Amino acid sequence: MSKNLNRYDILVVEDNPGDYLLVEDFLLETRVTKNIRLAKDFQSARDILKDELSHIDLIFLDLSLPDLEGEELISRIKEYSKNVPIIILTGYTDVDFAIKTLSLGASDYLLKDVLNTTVLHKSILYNIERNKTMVNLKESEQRYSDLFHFSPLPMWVYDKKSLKFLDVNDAAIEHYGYSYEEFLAMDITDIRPPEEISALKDSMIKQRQPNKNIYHGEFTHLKKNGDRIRVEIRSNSFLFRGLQAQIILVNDVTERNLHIEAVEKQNEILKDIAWTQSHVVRAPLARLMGLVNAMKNERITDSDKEIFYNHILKSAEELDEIVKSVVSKSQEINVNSQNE
Amino acid sequence: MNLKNLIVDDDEISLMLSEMIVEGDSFFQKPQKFLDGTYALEFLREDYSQDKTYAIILDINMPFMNGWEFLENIEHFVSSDNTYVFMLSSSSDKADIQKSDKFKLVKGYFTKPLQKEHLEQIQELISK
Repeated sequence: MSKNLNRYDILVVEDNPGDYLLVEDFLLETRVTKNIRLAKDFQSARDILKDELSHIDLIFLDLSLPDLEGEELISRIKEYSKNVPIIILTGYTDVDFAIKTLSLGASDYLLKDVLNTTVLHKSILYNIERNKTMVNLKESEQRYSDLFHFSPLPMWVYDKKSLKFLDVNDAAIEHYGYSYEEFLAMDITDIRPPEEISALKDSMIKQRQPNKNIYHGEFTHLKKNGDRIRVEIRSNSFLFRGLQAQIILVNDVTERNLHIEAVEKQNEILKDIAWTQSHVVRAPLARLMGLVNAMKNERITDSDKEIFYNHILKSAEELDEIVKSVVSKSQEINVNSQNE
Repeated sequence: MNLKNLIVDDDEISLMLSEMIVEGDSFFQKPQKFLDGTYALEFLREDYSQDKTYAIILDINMPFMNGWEFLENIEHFVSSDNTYVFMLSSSSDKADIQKSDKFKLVKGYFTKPLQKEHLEQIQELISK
């Protein structure tokens, strides 16, 4: 009766042999089954589901088993069924409860009294196919959620109205020191220093264009331990659980700024050294050149020569002192860079 | 030509060397030496006359009155027609050279030590 080439492994959990035989008959007639397994109580159903080797595509579940029944039975089965769809088998008397099981995670329910091949066939295909779609959707949601939660950069989502944190990722929790629960109990003003709050509120008033990756510049944030960090912020607007929300991507640039500061400081010292080279070093050097030139070209008495030698020595010593100070200044640069 | 020669430099050795060079050149008279701009200013105030020609070799960095301040002080009473100022510095700093261009009195910029070639330049300018 079907062109569907897929055949499925079915687990029937049913303690009543009459009901089981009935279900099995109809199942065989649907011709979409590959393997039908029976479990007469919760324990054996669990053992089958736990067995790595057994493959199950769909579970038919009677709600009253000798060792477990009702709500607890469903939740225990769900523990082991992973994503396999569960169809509840029930009698007229339990219809109300059967409907309730849909909210507990059952995919569908069937009344034993009106069971036939057509109903079973439709129910099996429908639930397996729908389940596949649901599982895909869930996995896709999980993937995107993982992209957020496992992003190496701190990220969070906040409600644009209340400014409350709606979601934060692991990197944010690690970086700022607040737990997930602590974050969700705060709003975004709690991680800003008091002097930046008014500017923050002003920027909130400006209407932002949705779906644009906006760079907001550099701000100061507070960690739980009170440390101030400089951060670059990017954000985007979107709808989160029905709320107008903003997603924030944080790049901590504190370290980078410290490096830039250190480099600038080093440049200052280098400039200073260059100035010293050209001005201070040149003074005794010019004197030395003048003295030597004079001794070479001018007539100088022997008594004056003594004075000249002393001048030469004095200028040489002065030059030596300056060179030493240049060396110690360059070492200052190394000390600074080590401190950073 | 009644040529007066002034050397202003707070570095005594540099001053002595400049003096020796100038004395060795027959174009110049025995120079007047000053260790600071204030003394040179005082001298010039008393001595200045339109009939004389002044060649002033001027150091820039001096503790009490530096070369620039000296220039600003003499600008009011000396003429660039008979007063030739030559800056003498231990280093050729671009900013200093640009600054000296702003003074009409400044006719040259030399890097220490003062040399015979510098004096030849001075002589050439004055003799024109």
